[in-house]
Amino acid sequence: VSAINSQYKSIIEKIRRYASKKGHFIVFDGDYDSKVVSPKSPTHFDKKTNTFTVSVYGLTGKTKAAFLALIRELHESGHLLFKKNKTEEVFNYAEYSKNNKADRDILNYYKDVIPNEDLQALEVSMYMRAKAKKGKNIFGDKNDVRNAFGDIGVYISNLCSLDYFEGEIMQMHKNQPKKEFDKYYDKAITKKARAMFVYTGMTEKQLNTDIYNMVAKLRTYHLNRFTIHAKGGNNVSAIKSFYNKRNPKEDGFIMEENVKDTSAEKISYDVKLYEEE
Amino acid sequence: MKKNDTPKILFTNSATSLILEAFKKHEEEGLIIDSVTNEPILTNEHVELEVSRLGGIKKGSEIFIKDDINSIMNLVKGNI
Repeated sequence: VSAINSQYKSIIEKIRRYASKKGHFIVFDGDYDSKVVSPKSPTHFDKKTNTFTVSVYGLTGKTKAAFLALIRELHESGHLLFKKNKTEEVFNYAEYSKNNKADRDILNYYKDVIPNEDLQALEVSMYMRAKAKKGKNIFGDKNDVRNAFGDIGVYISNLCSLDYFEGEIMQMHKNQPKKEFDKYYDKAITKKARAMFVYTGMTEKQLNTDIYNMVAKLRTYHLNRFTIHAKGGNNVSAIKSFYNKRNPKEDGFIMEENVKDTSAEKISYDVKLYEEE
Repeated sequence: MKKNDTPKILFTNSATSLILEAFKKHEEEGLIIDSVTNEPILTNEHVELEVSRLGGIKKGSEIFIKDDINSIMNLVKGNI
């Protein structure tokens, strides 16, 4: 059995030291040749971030056993072990949660108003909206929302990104008896009949199918309209193309551009049934 | 966020198998498996966890946290 490498013995001691220091970070890096460490040059200390990175690539024998024991020891002493590339998210959310009074007020408003699962999806959606406003990519988050809350979670995220919960939904709640609001919420949100969102990669066929399905929902649920939202060049082109190709006399519905909600990057259309229906 | 929930001991994706080995866990068909019981481990939300989605391990015996946005928010809020 090989003995523990003396170089790694002193590295383990350094790790223990840095682990007990405030504001210091330790990174276990398993890449053969990462940007900062390699088996030949197994440690790196970044003074700017107080981060001590250690290569754990190819550890064997007693050296590996010593690292396994060290990892357990750090965990036992109460440290959270965390994936490096998700750490920024933890700090970003911690920062957001300190300064999000407006969003917290909205969430408090909807407590006991909407289903708890929807409230949780709304909470995540509000954070995503704040991230998107800062120009951060939320594509992966949308997949997380779908996995955690299903399609209704993504629908809530889309509505939230357009401030529906501060706007129309809140107005409906304030201006109607609870029973009427619950009916509206069930149709508009739970049954996803209030809005549809053109998404990247949506085929023309899918777009057509979704629009006609939404029109069918208007009839089924006796709603007066739904809104189609498109954001981004390709999505805007797709819905404009549908609008230009459609035959209003045969389609059986009215489709009007919502000028207030139109800019170079986004467009929306209100869709209504003819009044005689 | 509680002091001990501040990420301080970090690991890259490529170091995940070493971290798991320290807790007597391994990968099988993409899932994290307990090497003693040979059963998939469950997250705090009682679901199986893919190795690629391991976010972290917290004390409280061993709490395996998914790396999705909802779990990260729950961690910060102190719900995990």
